[in-house]
Amino acid sequence: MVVVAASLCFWSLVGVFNGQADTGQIFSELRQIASAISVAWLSIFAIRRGLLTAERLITVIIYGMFCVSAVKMALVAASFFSNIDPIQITQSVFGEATRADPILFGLVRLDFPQDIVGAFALFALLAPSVSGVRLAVCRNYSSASLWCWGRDS
Amino acid sequence: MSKLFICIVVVLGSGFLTYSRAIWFIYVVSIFVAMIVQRSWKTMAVTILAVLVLGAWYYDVFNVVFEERFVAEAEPSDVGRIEQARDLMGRSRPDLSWEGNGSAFQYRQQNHHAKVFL
Repeated sequence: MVVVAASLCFWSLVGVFNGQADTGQIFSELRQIASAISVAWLSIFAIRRGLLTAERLITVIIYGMFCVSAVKMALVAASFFSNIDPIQITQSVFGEATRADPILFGLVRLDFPQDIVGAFALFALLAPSVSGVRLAVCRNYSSASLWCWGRDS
Repeated sequence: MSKLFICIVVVLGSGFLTYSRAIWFIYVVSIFVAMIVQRSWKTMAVTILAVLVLGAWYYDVFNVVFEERFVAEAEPSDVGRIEQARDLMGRSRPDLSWEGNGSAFQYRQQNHHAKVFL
């Protein structure tokens, strides 16, 4: 962690001393790198401490990826049935990190940074002997969440 | 339809909507690696057969998509990469500045609407 932090500081200082760096851009990039590393580090920490199993973590990631993918599909599908602009909605909700352009057949290109995770989610789904993912486990979690939510409300 | 099937279809559809050659390539690799790991040769054969059948059935659609992504749009999309590769090959030492090769600043300068060239 110290080496990573030192490396990030070094590259930031190179940009600052170069005199042409945009400070806001530096912090934006640093925030993204730091969040990616910290989430991975926290996951490994939780798994090693026994707070979380790797299978559960992968399952949560798969369901998160499913939600993002479903939102994208729903946005594009909705553009065919109602008068909405998926590009505008995507840009206003998710910001400039998302690439949204019209493509063929009236479809819209929606390129989220998280899309790269989809390949790993597919691998985990198609290779359960390696990932240990069982979707039935998540069904229990969904039921438990719904039960807790219903009890609170 | 099982939950597994729905999950795979939705994630695959999302992958197509990225319209990114790199993402498409990684998706294909992950699918085939998973089949190899699982030793599900029959599934692999059925998948390849299904792709061939669908490719032949919807030849026009596949052809349009392929031309648009790998021929027509690929040319302007790759200009920045080619320039950067040439510049990088011509350097005798690395450029550590914020505007150096591969930096986000340079990407945005060359292609303001894209964050990365994919």
